[in-house]
Amino acid sequence: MKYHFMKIKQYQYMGGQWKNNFTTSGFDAKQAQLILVFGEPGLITRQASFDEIRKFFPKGNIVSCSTAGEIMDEDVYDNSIAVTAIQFEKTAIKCCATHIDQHDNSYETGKYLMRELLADGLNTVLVISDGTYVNGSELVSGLNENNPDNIPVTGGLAADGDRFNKTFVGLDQVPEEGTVIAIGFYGNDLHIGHGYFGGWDEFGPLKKITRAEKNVLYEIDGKNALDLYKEYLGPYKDELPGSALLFPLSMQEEGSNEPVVRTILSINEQDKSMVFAGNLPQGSTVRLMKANFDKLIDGSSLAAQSAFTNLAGSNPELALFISCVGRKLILQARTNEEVAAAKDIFGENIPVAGFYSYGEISPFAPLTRCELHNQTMTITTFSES
Amino acid sequence: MYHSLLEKQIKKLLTEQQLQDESLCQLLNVVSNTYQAFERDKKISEHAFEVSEKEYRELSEALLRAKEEADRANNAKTVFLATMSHEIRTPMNGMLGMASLLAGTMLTAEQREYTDTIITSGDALLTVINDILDFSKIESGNLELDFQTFDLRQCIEEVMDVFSMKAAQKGLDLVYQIDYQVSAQIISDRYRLRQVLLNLIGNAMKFTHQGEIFVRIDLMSVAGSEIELAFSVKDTGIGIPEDKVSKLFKPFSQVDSSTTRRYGGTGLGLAISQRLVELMGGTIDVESQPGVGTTFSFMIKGRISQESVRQYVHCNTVGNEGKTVLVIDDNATNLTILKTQLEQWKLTPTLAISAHKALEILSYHDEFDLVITDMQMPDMDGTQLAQRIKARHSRLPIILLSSIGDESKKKYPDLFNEVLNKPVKQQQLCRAIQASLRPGIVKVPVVATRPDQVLSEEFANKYPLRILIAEDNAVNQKLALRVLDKLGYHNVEIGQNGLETVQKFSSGFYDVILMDVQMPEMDGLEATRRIRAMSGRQPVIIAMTANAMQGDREECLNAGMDDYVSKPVKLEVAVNVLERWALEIQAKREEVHPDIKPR
Repeated sequence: MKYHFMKIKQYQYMGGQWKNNFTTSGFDAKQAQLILVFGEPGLITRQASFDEIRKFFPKGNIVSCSTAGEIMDEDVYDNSIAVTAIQFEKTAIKCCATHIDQHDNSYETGKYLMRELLADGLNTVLVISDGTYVNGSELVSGLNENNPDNIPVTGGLAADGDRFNKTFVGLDQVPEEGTVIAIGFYGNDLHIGHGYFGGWDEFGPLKKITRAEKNVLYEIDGKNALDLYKEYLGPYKDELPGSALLFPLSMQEEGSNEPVVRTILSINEQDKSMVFAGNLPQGSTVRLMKANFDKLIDGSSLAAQSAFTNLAGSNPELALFISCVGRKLILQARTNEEVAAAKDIFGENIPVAGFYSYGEISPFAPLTRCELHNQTMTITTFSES
Repeated sequence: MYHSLLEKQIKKLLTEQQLQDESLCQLLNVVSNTYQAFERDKKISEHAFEVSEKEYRELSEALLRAKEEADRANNAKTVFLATMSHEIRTPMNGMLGMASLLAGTMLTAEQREYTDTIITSGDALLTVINDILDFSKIESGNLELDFQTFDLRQCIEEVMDVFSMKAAQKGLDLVYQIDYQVSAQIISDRYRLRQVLLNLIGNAMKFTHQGEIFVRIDLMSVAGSEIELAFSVKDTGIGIPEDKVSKLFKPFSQVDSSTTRRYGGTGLGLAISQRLVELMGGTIDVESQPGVGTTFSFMIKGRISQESVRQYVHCNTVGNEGKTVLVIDDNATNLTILKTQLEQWKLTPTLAISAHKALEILSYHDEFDLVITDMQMPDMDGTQLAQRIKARHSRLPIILLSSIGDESKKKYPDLFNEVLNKPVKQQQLCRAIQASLRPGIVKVPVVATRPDQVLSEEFANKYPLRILIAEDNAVNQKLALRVLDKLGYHNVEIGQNGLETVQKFSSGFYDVILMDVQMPEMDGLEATRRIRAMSGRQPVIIAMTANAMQGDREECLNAGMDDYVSKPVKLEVAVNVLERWALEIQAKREEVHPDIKPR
C-alpha cells in the first residue's frame, strides 16, 4: 500500500447528518493541523456546527468559509458543510486572521497578512477572504506588494449562494463578516501545483473603459455601461443583476498581456453604475464574454491539467477546487460535470475539496504574481515528499 | 412537466410503468433542465450576437467615414505642400539667380561680401525648405522611393566630390573604403541614399575640426539577389554627450541651442535620414564619445542588379603583378585603404606613416617601382619628399595625392607623374598607376581643372540657338533673359503664358523652349501637348518650374517635354542642361545638312 506523507480526512454534513467521506490510512485526528470548512452560510454560522467540527478535530486550526456551493469528491452540493482535515508530516503551517475594519482598506489588509506570514521557508500561501466587504483586486495587490519573490498565493473569496449579500469567514471560531484569513505553509517538502481556466468566448467589438472608480463601472466607450448591458440582455434585462452574469467582461489593463475576467456583482439604477468583483482601471480594454457549456467543462479539465503539470511529477495528495458562482449559475444541473471533468484528471483516489466563490486567486503561471480571477475554475494541488 | 421536446421523446421511448421509477424521473429532470437551459442560452446568444453585429456595422461605418476624412485631410495637406513649395521657389529663383548674376559683375570687396552672403543665405534657406518639404512628405507617408539600378561606387564618389574641396580647406582627411565584396550595380534609391550620405558626411564635416572622416561600406549579407549593406561615417570630431544621443533623431532638435548657433542647420537632417533609411529597409545608429569622435552607421536593404555583372576591380594589372609600391601617408586609415586596394590589384605595397620613415626605408631598399605619397604631412610635405626621392632615384615614378586646387603639378611638372585629388577614386588611381608604371601607354589627364567661367558669350557662338522663354513672372523673365544674354543669346523671346507661347511657336521656329509649368490662361503642360501635336520640326522643350514635388518631373516628361530643371535654377545646372541639348540639336543638324558645321 502506498505511503502518504499528507493524510486527509473528510466529513460532510447534509440533511442533518454528519458522514465520513474519506480517510487516509494512518490519519490521526489529534494531529490534524489544518481543517478547511466550506459550507452554506446559514449552516456554518451555527455555533453547533463549529462545536461538532471541533469535536472531530480537537487541535488544528479550523478555517471556515461560506460558499455558493460545496465541492466534495466529484460532486457539488448546496445546503451542506464540507470538512477537510489535513495532517502534514513535515510541513508547518501558520494561520493569520484579520478583520477588514482593522485596516484602512483591502490593499493594506493584503499587505498586513503577507507581512505576518513572510518568514524563512514560506512555501505557499492560501487566502480565504470575505467576499462582500473586501475588494479582491486590492487585496491581491496588497499581497503582491509584500511578496517580492512571488511565492505562490492561491485562494478565493467567500460567497453567499446567488444572493450576493452576506459572506462569512472565521478562524477557530464561528465565521463572521469582514474576516480575511491567510494560511502560510512552510518547508521544502510541500509541493503545490496550480492552474486556472475560464472557457468563456469573447465576442463583440473591443471597447475601452472610459469611466470607473475601483470596482464600480460607469462608462464604456463614453456610453453608460448599464444601458449597454441592457441592450445586450434584451428581454432578459429584467433579470439583472443575475442575468448580467451571462456576460462577464474580459479585461486587459494598459500594459498587461494577459486578460482577466470580471464578473458583475450588483447594479445601481440610480446612478446607472455596475459593481464588479474586481477593479476596472480606466483605459483598460474590455470585451464582452459569453458562456459556452462545453467549453466551461473543458476549461475546468484544462485547469486541472495545468495544476497537475506544474506539480512536476509528484502525485497530488489533495486537490482544492475553487470555482466561480457565475459558472454554477450557467451550468446549473450540469455543474457537477465540471467538477467531475477536473477530478478525472487526478484519478480515483485523490481527495477533492472546494467551493463556489465570488472570486478566485491564482497566479497566471508559476513564478508570477497572483491575480484575482472571475468566472474561472482555479485548482491548487498539494503533496508532500 | 418536462421540456416539450423531451416530452415527445419520453412518449415515444418510455412506458407508463418505467416513468414510475423515481431515479429515472430525477435523470429526466436534469435532462429537461438542460434542454431549457440550452434554449434560454440560445435565445440570449442570438439577441446578443444581433446587438454585437449592429455595433460592428456602426463601427465599420464610422471607420470608413474617418478614413475618408483622413484621406481628404491628407490630400489637402499634399496640395498645400505643393503650393507652398511652388510659391516659395518662384521668388527664390529670382533672388538667387539675380544674386548669382550680380556676383559675376565687377564689385568692390564690400559689395562682394554682401553678394556672397545673399547667395549663401539663399542656399541655406533653400536647404531648410527642402528639408521641411522632405520631412512633411515622409511624415504624411507621401514619400515614395524610386528604386533603380545604379553604380554604388559612382554614387559614393559623387558624394565625396561634394566635400573634397571643403575637406581640403579645413585640412581634414576625407577617406572612404568600399568592401570588394560589395557588388557594383545595386537596385535601391540612389538619390535618397545620396541624401543620407550627404547629411551624415555634412554633419561630420561641420563638427570635425581636425583629423579624418572615414566612410566605409561593407556587405552584411546576401540571400539570393537580396543584399544588406552597412554604411558607416566615422569622424574625429567634437562628439556628442551621452545624454543627448537619444535626442539626435528627433525632428527640430539639435544637441543644444549653443551648438545650433555655432553650427547652424534645421535639426531635421538626421530625422529625415533616419526615416529614409527606414524606408530603405534598414536602421540607423550612432556611437559617440565627446572629444574623440562620432560614428553614424546605417544599414539598407537592396538587390543586386541583374543588368550588369561588372566588377569594381577592373584594373588591368597585366604585366604589373608583384610590382612594389611605397605608400606614404600620415593617416593610418588611408594607408590601410590604399594597402587593401593595391593588394587587390596584385601589387606589393610597403607602408610608411611619415616622410622620414619613407626616406629611411628607401635608404636600405631601393627596389621600388612606384611611390604614392600624400601631400599634407606634418614632418615634410609631399613635394619636399618627392624632391628628396628624385635626388637619388630620378627615374622612380611618384604619384601625389593632394587636394583640389593644388598647383603642384603645374609648379613641378617633372616631379610627379600624376597628381590625384583626394578622396581618390579607384578607377583614377588604377589608371594613374598604370600610366606611371608603363609610361606612354595610358595617359589620362587626372588633374581637376577649375570650371571655366560659367557664363560666357562664347557659348552662343558655339551653339547658335533660337530660344523662347515661356514664363509669366516678370522677375524670372528678366533673370532668364539676363542669363541667356550673358551666354551670348541676345534675341531671346518671351511667351507670357502657355497660349502666347504656342502662338509664337506656330508663327516661327525655335530650337529650344524653356517652359514654366504654372502659368495663367494655359499652363506649360497643355502648351507642350499642343506644340507636340503640331506637324513639322519640333523644339526641345525644357521645363523650368517651381513644381518640385515628387511626380512633377514625370508629369512634365509625360506631357512631352524633353527635360526638367527645378527652381530655383542653379546657373551651372541650367547651362549644363542647355549644353547637353545644344549638342543634341547640333548632331541632328549635321545629319540633315552635313555641310553646315558650327563655327
